[in-house]
Amino acid sequence: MNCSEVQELLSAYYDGELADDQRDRVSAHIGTCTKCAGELTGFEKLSRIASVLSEPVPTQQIWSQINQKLDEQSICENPILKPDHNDRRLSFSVPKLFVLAATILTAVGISWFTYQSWFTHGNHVHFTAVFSHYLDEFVHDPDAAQQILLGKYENKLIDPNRAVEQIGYRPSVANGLPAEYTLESTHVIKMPCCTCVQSICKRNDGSKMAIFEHDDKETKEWFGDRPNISVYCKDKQCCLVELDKQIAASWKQGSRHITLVGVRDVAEVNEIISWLNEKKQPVLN
Amino acid sequence: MASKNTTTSKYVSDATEIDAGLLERCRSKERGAQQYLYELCHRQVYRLMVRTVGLQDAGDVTQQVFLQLFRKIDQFESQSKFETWLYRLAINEGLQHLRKGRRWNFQNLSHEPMSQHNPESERIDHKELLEVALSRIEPELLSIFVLREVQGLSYREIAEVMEIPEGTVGSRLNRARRELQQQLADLGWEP
Repeated sequence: MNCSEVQELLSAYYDGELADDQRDRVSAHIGTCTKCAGELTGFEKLSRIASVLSEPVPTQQIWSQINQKLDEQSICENPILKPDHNDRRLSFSVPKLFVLAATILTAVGISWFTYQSWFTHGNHVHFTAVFSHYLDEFVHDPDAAQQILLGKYENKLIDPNRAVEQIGYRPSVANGLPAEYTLESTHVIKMPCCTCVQSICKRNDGSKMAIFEHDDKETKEWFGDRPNISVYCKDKQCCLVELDKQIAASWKQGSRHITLVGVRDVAEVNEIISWLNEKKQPVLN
Repeated sequence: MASKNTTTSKYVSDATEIDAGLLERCRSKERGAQQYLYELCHRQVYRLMVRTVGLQDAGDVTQQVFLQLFRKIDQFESQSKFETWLYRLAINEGLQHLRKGRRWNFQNLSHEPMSQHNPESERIDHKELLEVALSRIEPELLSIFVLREVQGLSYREIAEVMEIPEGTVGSRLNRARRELQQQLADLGWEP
């Protein structure tokens, strides 16, 4: 065997994956070749370092987040629970109905506080699922995505210049948009987390981007547990979430938050932030 | 010089507890069964993800792996080995994450740059260097190195996970090891 042949088999030799005859021939060559023997020693040193790499312990939080996500998926798959007569799990006999009635009566005794906590949590979980659906759809069909949101939550088409009468502040789009965008529509949408102003902006090429302006302190539930990164875009610390071929971005602008959906890239986030900063709109600062 | 003995596969340690019944209950979306399966497998998946995508993102990607697992469990064919299927899901998710991460066009956020002055021992120095070197090689080479050196899989198991011919595993490992050595040398590694 020559060096070239041995080099090709070196990992398999090192890992004990060669048949006996091949192993013996490689072994014989290595015994006489300092170059191949040296490379094998390099493999051994690499293994030694790899064997002492630290083993971080996974946090409990991972399962909690999976659990929450599974809840959301379950809500999406079964938005309204309907009894399925073919499903034996929902097929009750009379005694079971009696037990069920007793259980319901007992449940009535549960405190209002507990109910409210559950209700609020349930609403928020549901909102995360709806918004997740909206984000996914926006990438392919912004109009269909808009219908998902408008179909779920109470809303009103507004004139941004007169929005102050309805929402108490002048939305950022009221003073116009950067040159390459035109305003298609502005809605006030009453979502479980907050009442927001949402504007659909059309680019010159016909593609669309949504701008949400809202009061809630955190936008975590807007993006659920989608992977996100926190980076500075201009002077704002932004939470960025990658969608299929787009990104969504959210940051604090003055006393409110701005969330963009359908953004092309980080450069576009920078442009919007620059535009908002240059506007120095008093309501935002 | 003798070749290294084949290491024992560090496949899911409680694999014997993953039986058809448990998987069937997971297919029925029983949350208790899903949690139990997670308990049995998550340490291995997390360790693989720490080495593949970095500590910072390992939790998120592990989460994605298990969500994919529960979503696609109907596609698992019981005649194949569950652990192989799980590792394949994990590797695919890790590779997808790495490729997406590069599309952000940011510096690699998973690995901190090496500090000039490290008071730690030489061995820790080497560990840090290896972690930086791992972040610099091609994702596919990184995966195959991690499956072998960290997870301890055999060539046959790696071939099944990566869906490549068994004969290709050795040549890719050659490339992975040589590229890692080159990266380590560039980082000033003195073996």
